[in-house]
Amino acid sequence: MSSSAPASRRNSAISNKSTSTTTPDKPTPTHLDLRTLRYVSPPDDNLCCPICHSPFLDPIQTRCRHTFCSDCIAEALKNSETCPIDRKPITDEGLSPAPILIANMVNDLVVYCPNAENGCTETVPRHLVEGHVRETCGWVQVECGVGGCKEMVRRNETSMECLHRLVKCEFCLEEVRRMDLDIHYDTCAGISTDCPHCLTDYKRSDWKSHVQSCPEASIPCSSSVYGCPTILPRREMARHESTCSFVHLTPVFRRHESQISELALENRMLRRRLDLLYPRATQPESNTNSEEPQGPSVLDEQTYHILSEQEHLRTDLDRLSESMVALEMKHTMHFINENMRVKEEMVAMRTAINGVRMQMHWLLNMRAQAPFQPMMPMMGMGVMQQQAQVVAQGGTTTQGGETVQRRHSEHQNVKL
Amino acid sequence: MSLPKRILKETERLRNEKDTGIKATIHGDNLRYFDVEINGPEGSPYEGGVFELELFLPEDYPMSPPKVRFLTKIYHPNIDRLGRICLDILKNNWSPALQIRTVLLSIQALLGAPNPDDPLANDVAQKWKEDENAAKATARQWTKEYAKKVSDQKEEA
Ligand SMILES: [Zn+2]
Ligand SMILES: [Zn+2]
Ligand SMILES: [Zn+2]
Ligand SMILES: [Zn+2]
Ligand SMILES: [Zn+2]
Ligand SMILES: [Zn+2]
Ligand SMILES: [Zn+2]
Repeated sequence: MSSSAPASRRNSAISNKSTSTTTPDKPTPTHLDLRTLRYVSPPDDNLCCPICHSPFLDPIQTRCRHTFCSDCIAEALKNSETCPIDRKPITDEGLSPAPILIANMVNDLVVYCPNAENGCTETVPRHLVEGHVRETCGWVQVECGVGGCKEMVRRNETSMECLHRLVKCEFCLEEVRRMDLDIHYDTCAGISTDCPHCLTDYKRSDWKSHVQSCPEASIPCSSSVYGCPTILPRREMARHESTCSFVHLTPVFRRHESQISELALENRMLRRRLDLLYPRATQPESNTNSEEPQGPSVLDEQTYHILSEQEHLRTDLDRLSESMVALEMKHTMHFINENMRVKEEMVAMRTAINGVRMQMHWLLNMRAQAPFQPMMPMMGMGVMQQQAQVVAQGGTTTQGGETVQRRHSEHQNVKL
Repeated sequence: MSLPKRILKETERLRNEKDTGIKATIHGDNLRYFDVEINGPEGSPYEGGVFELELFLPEDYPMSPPKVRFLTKIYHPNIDRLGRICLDILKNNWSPALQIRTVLLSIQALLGAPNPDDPLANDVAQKWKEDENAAKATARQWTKEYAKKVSDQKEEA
């Protein structure tokens, strides 16, 4: 909005010539800067102003028969009272409207609606675009009007019903604006959803616990770890498990499992002891190797004692590391559960933020209608010039001598 | 700040500019500031060199001329030690019908036809008038020393 300020000011200054009213910087809802229009097909160079390079707006002819936009030539004459093309002297009196043929040709150029980026797909001849925006364009913000409501809505969204009044959500009894109701339904805690498995409705708040126990959800047989391939809906699982031979054998499997692991541990222990008693030269173990040269016969008793002690420690270590692994597993599970909970919370937050964003958007739209301030572009300009001056100063300081400084003042126009 | 459509159009046209030995690209995200490269014209002491310039479009462009300055050191009677250029269209003779492209072509032409009678660098102009051949030799040497080579530029591309 503020970015088009300089151009629009110039525009209104010119158009005010005819109406002789002075209301600069006061954009009406139908205010439109014709300079920002986009043309459907690239305009012919002969119809483009040599100054702004866009199709003529309100074309003016000079006495030397060159054509410019009325704004452009007026601006150019402020700097130099010559024709920008051939530099022949001209004054305001030397200007006359261009032939009506040229005016008609540029007025008939087809342009996109200025609201194209908001969604309007209309293309109209340029001289009709103001009417389109004022009267028919569906993407223009207009007052809601229902029951004196002053809120702004897109013209194609106006209806007999005011979308801004507060209504009560029939599911959770919260108060929501009519236009936000659809979004609210997405997150409303009172509303019900279909369970994907059993297709019955559940309140969103109850839904999670239901999914954990839904009779229609497919689950694997509890003995799937022992090899049962069956996957059935939960309600049928009990029947299957009462007949499943894997389930019947599960206690046996369990017992065998623990026995096997005990035996494996014992076996490992025995093997180590065996290795100590009959050290194998081909398979060296650091401890036995270091003992060997001392003569096992002398230190036999002592060595045996130390080695058995070591064996005990090793067994302890094994046990400890096993419980470590179990602990770690438990922690991982805990983390995963926690994570899921946080994720769910984030989704809820995000939807809430979206709701706020909608309202923000709407508020901004409303503010956009308020009178705009020309401050921003001016500030930006100041920074530019400052930059340019800094460059120039940096340049002069690196140079000395009177002659140079004199030249500097002579050629100030060129300095950067 | 609004950027007039004209500047966008000129930028677009400059991007497609080829075979004239001038090149202007937007510097960073400031759409009014350009990095310029001009090839020394053939048959001049500046032939074979690529000269870097900076170009800035003031707020009221095209009503006032762009500000242009040589960044590459150059030995020329109309260009001073700071790279400032003495060219009428950049000052009093500016016309809003001129464009970045025409300005750069004029600067290129100025390299081909120095004008020591309207000097900006007095000492250079003096040399130019006294002994044109020696001055041109210096210009040629400076070109070799300070300007990028045309071939380097092609490699970059
Ligand atoms: Zn003329
Ligand atoms: Zn124009
Ligand atoms: Zn429209
Ligand atoms: Zn309303
Ligand atoms: Zn609700
Ligand atoms: Zn269910
Ligand atoms: Zn089973």
